[in-house]
Amino acid sequence: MRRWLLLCSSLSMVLLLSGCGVDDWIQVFRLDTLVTFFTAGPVAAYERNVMLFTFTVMLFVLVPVVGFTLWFAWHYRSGNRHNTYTPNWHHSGLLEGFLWGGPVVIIVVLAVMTWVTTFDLDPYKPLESEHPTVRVQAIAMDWKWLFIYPDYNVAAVNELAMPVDAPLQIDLTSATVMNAFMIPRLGSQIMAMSGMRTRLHLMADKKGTFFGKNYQYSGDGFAGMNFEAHSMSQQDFDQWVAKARAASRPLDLAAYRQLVEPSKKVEPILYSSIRDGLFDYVIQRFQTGDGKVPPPDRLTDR
Amino acid sequence: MFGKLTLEAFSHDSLIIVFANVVMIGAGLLVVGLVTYYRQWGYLYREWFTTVDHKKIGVMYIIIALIFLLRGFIDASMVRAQQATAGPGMDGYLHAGHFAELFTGHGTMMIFFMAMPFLVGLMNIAIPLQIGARDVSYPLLNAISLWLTAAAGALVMISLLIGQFSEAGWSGYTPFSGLEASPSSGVDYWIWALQISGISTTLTGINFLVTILKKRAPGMGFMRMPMFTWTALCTNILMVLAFPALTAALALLALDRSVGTHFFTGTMGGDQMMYINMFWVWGHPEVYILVLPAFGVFSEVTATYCNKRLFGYTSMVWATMAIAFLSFTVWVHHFFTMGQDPLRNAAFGIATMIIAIPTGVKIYDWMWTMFRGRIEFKLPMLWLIGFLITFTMGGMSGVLLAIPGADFKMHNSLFLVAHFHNVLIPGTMFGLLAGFYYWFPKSFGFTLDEKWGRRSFWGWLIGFYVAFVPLYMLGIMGMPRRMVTYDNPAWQIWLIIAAIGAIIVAYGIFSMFMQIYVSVRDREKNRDLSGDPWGGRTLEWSIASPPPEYNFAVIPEVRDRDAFMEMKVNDTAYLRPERYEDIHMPRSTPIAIVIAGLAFFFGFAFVWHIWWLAGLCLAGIVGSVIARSFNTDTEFVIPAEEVERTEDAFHRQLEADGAFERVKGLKHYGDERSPHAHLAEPVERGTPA
Repeated sequence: MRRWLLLCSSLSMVLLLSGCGVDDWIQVFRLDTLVTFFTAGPVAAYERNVMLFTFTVMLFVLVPVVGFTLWFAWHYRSGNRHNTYTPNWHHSGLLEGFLWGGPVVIIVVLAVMTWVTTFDLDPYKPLESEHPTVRVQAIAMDWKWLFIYPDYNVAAVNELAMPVDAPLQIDLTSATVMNAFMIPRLGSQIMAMSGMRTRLHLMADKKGTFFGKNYQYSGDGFAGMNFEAHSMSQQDFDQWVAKARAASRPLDLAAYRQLVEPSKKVEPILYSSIRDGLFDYVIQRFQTGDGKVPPPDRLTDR
Repeated sequence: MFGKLTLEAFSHDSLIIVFANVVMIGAGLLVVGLVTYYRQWGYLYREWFTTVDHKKIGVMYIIIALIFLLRGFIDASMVRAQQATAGPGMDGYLHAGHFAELFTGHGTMMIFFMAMPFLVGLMNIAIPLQIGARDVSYPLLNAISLWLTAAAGALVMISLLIGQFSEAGWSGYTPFSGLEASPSSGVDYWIWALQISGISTTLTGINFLVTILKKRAPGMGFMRMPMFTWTALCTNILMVLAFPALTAALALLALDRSVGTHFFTGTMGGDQMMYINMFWVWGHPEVYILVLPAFGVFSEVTATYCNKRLFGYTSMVWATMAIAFLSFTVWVHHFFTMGQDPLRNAAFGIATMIIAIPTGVKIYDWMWTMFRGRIEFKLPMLWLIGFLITFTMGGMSGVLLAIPGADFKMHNSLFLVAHFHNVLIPGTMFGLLAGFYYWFPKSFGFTLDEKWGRRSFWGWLIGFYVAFVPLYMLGIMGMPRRMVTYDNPAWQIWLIIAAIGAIIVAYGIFSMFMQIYVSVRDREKNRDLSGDPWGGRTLEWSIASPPPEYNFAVIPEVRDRDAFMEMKVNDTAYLRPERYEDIHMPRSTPIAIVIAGLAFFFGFAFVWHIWWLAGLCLAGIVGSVIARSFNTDTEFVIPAEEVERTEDAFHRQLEADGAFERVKGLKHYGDERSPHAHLAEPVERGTPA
């Protein structure tokens, strides 16, 4: 299925980009602004293929509808008296069979594709890679993102660093209203909700700096709630961690309480260490008074 | 004494809002002044404000809809203007809070106070006439529904002057709409405006459901109902089943905000997801509540202006029912990105795209109705063709969003905004405007101007593409919805183009109001004497325009789907009975206005926590209903002689107009003019009831 999608979408891409170097096209038409198609990771590329495949299939609906509508409208205009006129013709079993059958076939094709790709693209599904997975805990605040690296004991505000080709496993929650985390060039969006935990797996297969943002309206500072995702070599990532540690600014509860206050357009901040269990503390803060109810990992147990 | 209402609520820091208030109050004073100057208060009160006549109620619904079309559009233009002027290094002219009020207000008003009143207005005007009834089943309830909608609309309007409107988006997601994140009066105004208009819609749903089930003329079995009545039937079933979910969600949210409960706060065991669940359990059927009646209008106008029987009536009926049923099975697609398991996402994704099947069938049926017809390019045919092409594109983007893998990417982006405008503008707005043109002569006795109507059509159609294709592009470029400013230079050019699109749509709306003005001015020239200006096929065209208060002097007998066309072909149209009988009609009453006025103050009191006033109003509403139930003198009689006089006058008109001659010409309808006459079946006969 995956390969088949890849083939279809590659064909469309080849048609689009043929005759000229890909880089030239990107330069001339600023295709890099079309972040949905100009992908930098396997999840995003897969999602692009799903979209291109669907679009291609849907052309089998759009083209006949537009064509027939315009043709019938022109051909059977009342001024054109040379045409057949059958004012009482209103039923044809065969024709109506096709009218129901056609859409059914198209939807069956898309439904099969949907079934397969939805399981493939489940944000909770770990990504395969030779490189070790990097764990990140993301907390949405008014109006910035806090990214905690529990395995490295560092944290950053509005800056997400990752080694290229290494899978990211991001756990998300919110210290405020509902937010949606997305880096368009890397792939899926997922909600960050107070008192709950969601999970997303992403991976970058190119080095570079990618735009990330909260996509769910969250109040006055929403428009500026952006961050940069840096995909870098393993050495550069290690250096980045070292730089964070050298910042000698610990993220303890006092620092957290200061950070969680509303603020807009926050520049990146690095934290050299983190308080243990901060992420769980943020979730539990929203739970019942006695704090005994464990946060639901997702809506059902799996 | 006045709860949270202090003088501060009247102060506005934004000059734009002050200006809007001056315009609003000025316009209000102008209307009041003009009515007073021309001494029309008595007339308005007797003939309109207290009426229970479904035809007049329908007209008033549409007036409400047109007012809110203007306000909703002004809000949309301000959003477009802001985003066009808020690129990198620019701030635009609005601050974030005001911008949020605008997009919230735009969505709320266009759905609840433009589209809903418009379609309920068309149902009011057309349905009792199409099914051969004297009135709806519960005329007073109908008037109460109308005035409750007006009261809810007044709450939205007053929020401009006192306090503010919600910033939480038209869907009001918790916990953002909760007290902690939105402490101002805005969300409360939004809650009570929706609550009151939602109750109005539920009552309308019950009323029309019963009307369509119980008041059809003899002989009109289910498979002989006009398509508009069919779609309205399904819409009303949806209204009755879906709206209680919204009522409950809003009531719980109001408790959270006013009483301090924690249903949706996410703290103290509350669940923010539950609000979103309940909202979309109503919200997704609501989309089909909006779109189905427009589908019905398109079915009527296609058959009429193609001069042909509707192709695939049975398919249409089944498709309509399938859409209505499926509309309850897809709400989860609004939160694919909330971390559900893939099984659930896939199931709801597929359920969503299945709706494309019956919808596709309907589109093909309209196309094949055009096939071998004699298409007259009156305005509704233009709306239909614009709809078929544009709506199919919108449906495509909808199927795309139904696939979780694609939705993960496009959710919350401008692609989504472009998608639902791409289905709602052609699917609802074009249909409503086609229906407006189609039934206008039935309500007022003269047709609407064609020239300005065409200008309006081209304004809307071209404006739509110029305004929304850029939003698709921006969605693909990763721009989220609802951004007051942005710093990506590549986005700005598309937002400027979109703003130009809004200007073109503005021309379309301006032309629509010009169309009404020009038509009223030239009404004598466009007078329709026959009551049947389009060569109609259904019962509403068999009576005078505007119809007499009692609609049908004698309840007609239905022998075919296209009941009136069958009468015309078989020479039984315009037949007169041997003698007329007295007709009982419901009497006008001010009780609906009283109840709605109390509902307005109840909502207002709740917004500002003026508990004594809320209690008083609630007691007043209950008391009025009880008092009314003791009133037994609710009907009056139109004597047979008066009916005869009215009908005589109509028949003199028909004679003067040559309607009888035209009907004779239809005798061999479909036989002679066609070289393929053998393909034309005889008109179906049902057994006479």
